[in-house]
Amino acid sequence: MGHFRKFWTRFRIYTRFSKIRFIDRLSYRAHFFLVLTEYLLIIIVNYFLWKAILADGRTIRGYALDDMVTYVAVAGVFRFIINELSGGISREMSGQYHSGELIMNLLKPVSYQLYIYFRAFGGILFQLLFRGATVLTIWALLVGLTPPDSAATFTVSLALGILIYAGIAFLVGLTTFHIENNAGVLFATTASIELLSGTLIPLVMFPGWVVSILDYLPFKMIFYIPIQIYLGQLGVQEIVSALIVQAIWAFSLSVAGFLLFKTSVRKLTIQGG
Amino acid sequence: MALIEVENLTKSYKTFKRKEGLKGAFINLFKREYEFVQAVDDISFHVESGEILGYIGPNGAGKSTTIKILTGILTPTAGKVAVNGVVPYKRRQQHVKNIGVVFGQRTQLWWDIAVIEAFTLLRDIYEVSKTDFQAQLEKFDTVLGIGPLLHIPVRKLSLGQRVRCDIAASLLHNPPVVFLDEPTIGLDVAVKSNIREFIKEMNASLGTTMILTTHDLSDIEYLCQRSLIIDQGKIIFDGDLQQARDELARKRKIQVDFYERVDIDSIRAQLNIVKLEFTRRNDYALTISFDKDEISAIDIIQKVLDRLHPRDIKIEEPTIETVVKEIYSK
Repeated sequence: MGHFRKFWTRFRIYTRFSKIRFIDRLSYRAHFFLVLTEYLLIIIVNYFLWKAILADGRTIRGYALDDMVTYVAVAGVFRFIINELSGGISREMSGQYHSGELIMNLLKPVSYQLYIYFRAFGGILFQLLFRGATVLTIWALLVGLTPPDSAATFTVSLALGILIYAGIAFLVGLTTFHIENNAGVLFATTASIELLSGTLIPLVMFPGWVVSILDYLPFKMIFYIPIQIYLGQLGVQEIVSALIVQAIWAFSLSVAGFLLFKTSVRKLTIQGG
Repeated sequence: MALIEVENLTKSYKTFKRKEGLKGAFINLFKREYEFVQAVDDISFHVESGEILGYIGPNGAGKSTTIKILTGILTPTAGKVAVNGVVPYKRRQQHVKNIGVVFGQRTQLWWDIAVIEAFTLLRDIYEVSKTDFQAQLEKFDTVLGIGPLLHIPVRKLSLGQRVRCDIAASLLHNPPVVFLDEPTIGLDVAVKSNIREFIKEMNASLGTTMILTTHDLSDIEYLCQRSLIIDQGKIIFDGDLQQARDELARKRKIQVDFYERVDIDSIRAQLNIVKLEFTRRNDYALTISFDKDEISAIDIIQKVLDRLHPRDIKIEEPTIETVVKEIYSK
């Protein structure tokens, strides 16, 4: 009981970091609408593209226009999350390293990794509650949207996908400690995530050998597995094993981040003063 | 056992030597030269519980590096460090719970929230009880006048306001050990003296151990019994600066102004004291230098008043600044 209470108080502290980020994201109105419009336009362009490709009831590797209508909208919303995590974790860490804010956070008895994670979670909550909900509502009203096949499993899978990407984003953020300027690494990973996680096109549309390589990488666990669960493309057996693999990736990447953070801090060189 | 123990501490950095210009930048892409900088070079010192230690030295001497090692941010290259029995860099989270750190040049508060929100967040992080927290807030308000600032977002505070809030924030949990790195930088005289009073009071009433880094030697003079001077990574002085001033500055100076033109030879003859040095400052003024252990200033002044006809007399006391300068230049 004592342990649980202690855990709960610590957890509450970290959720306050989420709240701070959430409120901070809320306070820029013009930015909110500009980004919303930008992402909505991308979804619309994708939609018309698929409409042309899949005209007259055609299908590609099992995907018909109906599936793609939902696919592009959910993928579009997921891009908010990708954006939030690459900005809120990797770029944030690099910024904190260079501004010295990192030092201030190291001087507090809190885990830096959890602090960064929970801030990002606050941002994600904002993205989903405001931008995501708006985009999906507009889409459902104008074009149509299939509800998830199993909302609960989809939510679990999506949460695990987010954790996996958070783990990757944290590792990318740590590269700053070693190479000073990690803008290149950040750009490269964000681009590969967009392409390889399935937010651009369903992964099954890649050549067979690419698909089999992707089976061994964490990228498809980020978005492709959740969207497949959403669209009801996986059987119960497949879902269970996919969730287990997702959990393993999420756990290992975060542990890797934890260990690498420890060694990176040891190598920290902050000069001047 | 001393509260803070530093033994043979060394920290060296590997830095990348940049070649200048376009050609240099191109060469840098393929061939890099590194050089090692000894920021802290084999230093040892102890700080007893309840002591306020002044830690001074010119820019880049290794002061902040030492502080960053003691606070657990940096890992030393070699040597031993222990604060309250804890090795800072090995158990960072446990260590920082028991220390307070003020870096005058950067804030300890989260930018994006109001001061009071940052305070309550810190209260929860450090597990300070609500009654203690309230008492601390009242104390900080009386001494630092932070009451009116509580609802302003941190990013909108002026430098002076921010430093005051920062000091309050880092002492909220009553840490037994406090590191103050240039706490009064850029502050006006009134705020500065408030903060000094506060530091002195906290040390006296709670027995807080403190290490104070500053370029403002009057801070040191007012607060520290003992000071360390570090230069190029090495400790070049460890002791009481006031005492050092008395020992070092045996050469005293008396400035005398006259109504008439100065004639050094006739003045020397009239005073008739050996071992005085005279330097002419201008046509109507001169400086008499002497060794205070050989001749008393009173003697000289008395003779000047009796035998000459001075317009004004001023005794020059050596300042802490001149003492420190002298130590640096050795």
